[in-house]
Amino acid sequence: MRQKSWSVSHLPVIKPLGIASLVFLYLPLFTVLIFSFNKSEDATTWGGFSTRWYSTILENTDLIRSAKVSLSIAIPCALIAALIATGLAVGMGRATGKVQNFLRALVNAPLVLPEIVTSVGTLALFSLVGVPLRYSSLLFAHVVMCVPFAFLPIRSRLRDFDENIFEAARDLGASSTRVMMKITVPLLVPALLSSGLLSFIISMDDFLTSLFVSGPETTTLPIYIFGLLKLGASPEVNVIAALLLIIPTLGLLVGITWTATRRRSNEARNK
Amino acid sequence: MEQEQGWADLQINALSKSFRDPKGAQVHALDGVSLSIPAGEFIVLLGPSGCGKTTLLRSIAGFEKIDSGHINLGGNRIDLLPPHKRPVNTVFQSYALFPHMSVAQNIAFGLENEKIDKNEVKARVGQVLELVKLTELADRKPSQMSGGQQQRAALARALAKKPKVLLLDEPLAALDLKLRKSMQFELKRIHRATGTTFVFVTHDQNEAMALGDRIAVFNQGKLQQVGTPFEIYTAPASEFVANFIGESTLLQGKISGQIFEGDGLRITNLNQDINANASAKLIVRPEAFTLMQGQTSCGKVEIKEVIFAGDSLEALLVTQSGHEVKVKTGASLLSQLNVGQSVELFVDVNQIGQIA
Repeated sequence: MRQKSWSVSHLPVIKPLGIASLVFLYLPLFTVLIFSFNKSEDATTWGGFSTRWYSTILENTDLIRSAKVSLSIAIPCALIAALIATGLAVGMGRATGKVQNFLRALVNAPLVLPEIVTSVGTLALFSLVGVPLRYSSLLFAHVVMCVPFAFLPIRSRLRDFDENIFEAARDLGASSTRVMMKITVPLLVPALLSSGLLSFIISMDDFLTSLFVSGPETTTLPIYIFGLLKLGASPEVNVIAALLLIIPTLGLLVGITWTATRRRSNEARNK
Repeated sequence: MEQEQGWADLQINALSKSFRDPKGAQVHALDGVSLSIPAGEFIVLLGPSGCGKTTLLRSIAGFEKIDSGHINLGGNRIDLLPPHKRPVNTVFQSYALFPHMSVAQNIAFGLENEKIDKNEVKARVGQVLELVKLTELADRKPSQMSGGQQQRAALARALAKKPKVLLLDEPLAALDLKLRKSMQFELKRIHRATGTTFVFVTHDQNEAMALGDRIAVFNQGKLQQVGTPFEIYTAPASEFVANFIGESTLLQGKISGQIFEGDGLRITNLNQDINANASAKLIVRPEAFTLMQGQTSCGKVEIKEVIFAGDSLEALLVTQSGHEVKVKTGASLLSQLNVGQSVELFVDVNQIGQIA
């Protein structure tokens, strides 16, 4: 029998380590799902099955308000960030060599910067200039934070294109606006979707930046949840977490099923 | 499809373009290139990669900014116009079809950029699809077609605009040999049917010979020679052209009184158009030499290698001074030739060319 070459994956600890990581990754998720149906007043001790906390959170106006704030930030943030990222990616494609590398580094740098640095910086800048901490300032901070992330899928999609496609469009008599509307944007749709979705999730999930630059009127969901925990773990926290887990998962499943069906019917039509 | 727009000659005047390579050295992609292309001609720009042929094509299309010189089409200067305002269209090597549009939509895209009536667009799309024999695949997406079909679609898309000049950038390079051959015939047919000027870039000398009314040979940004395939082949203007197109043997020596002596050979009775020169260079094609009696004798040579090519024999010979000579001769000699044997070499003096 041929001897297999040695690799790290042959170490005896790898398999149990892998299993343990998966368990630790998903165990909290299951815990929060199960405890969202907890009857007990205490979030961490099991007191039997109940859906009572699901109905109480619907009556919790503070919670609903903070969820609305989060959505009203995350949705426009996703749109604006995707738009700016598209502009950056398309524009950067026109730059050459060192200029392009420098610009790309400039856009990507915030990805590896500690968020606390940008948050403190943004707050300092806002107070220096005298910007009040309102909805618009929070939205601005979120957009700034999301652009580097939104940039990634668009840039990589643009790079996959045959550069000649854009030259061909120009060659066939299209003005730059028409090239943008008829060629670039339609080809970018999948990347725009993932870029917007990514920004949406990052904005919805953000704690640090929101904590620094949100005012009393703009308490986002993560900040509200954190506030609940400070008063002692309420079972409502489990329900909110469970909903935040269930809703996107369902959305994702619907999305996948929809694209799969569409692809299958496309293939069937072409046969 | 008949030519509706006026005939337009393409004039390229002292075009120069240089850029810096990654190491910072100045590269002359085009070095004072002048070329006159009459309307309706099929001209092939031929040369090794990096010779400037593609830069010239892209300059005509408007994708490259030229440093100096100008380009006129039918008397109008076009080199200052942006690509979308020039009455020329390009077939790209990568085809560059729009992946999110069907073939028909790809073709219609160019027409919709002009303010053309919808029915007219439809009619023209149908016309060009028929011209390139793709009518049945009009609703296919590019990804659902073979390379050859995509090639035809790209051709149709460019032709639908009725360009005064069609620019083709190595359009057959990605196809396999058999398909390439049949596309060559197709291109000839389409060229005749449309009457459009074709400017075709290739590095393949056989393709250039097969397609071009004329061939323009480029090297290192300079135009080396322009002529019909016959002129280029039989009377190459330089050693580069002689070696790039077909095979040849270069003989260096002295010519006086219509007699050449050099590289271990002596050729008498040279044609009158060969000039006396103390350091002359002669170009001889393999088929101008023969090992069969009858022509002018050149002297004794030794056989180094013999290759049977079906319809002919290709032999590599060495003269007494050690110079290598390539010969294409009748296949019937196969049994009489052995490696190492000494034989007499003959040449057809009418097929000897001289270069400066």
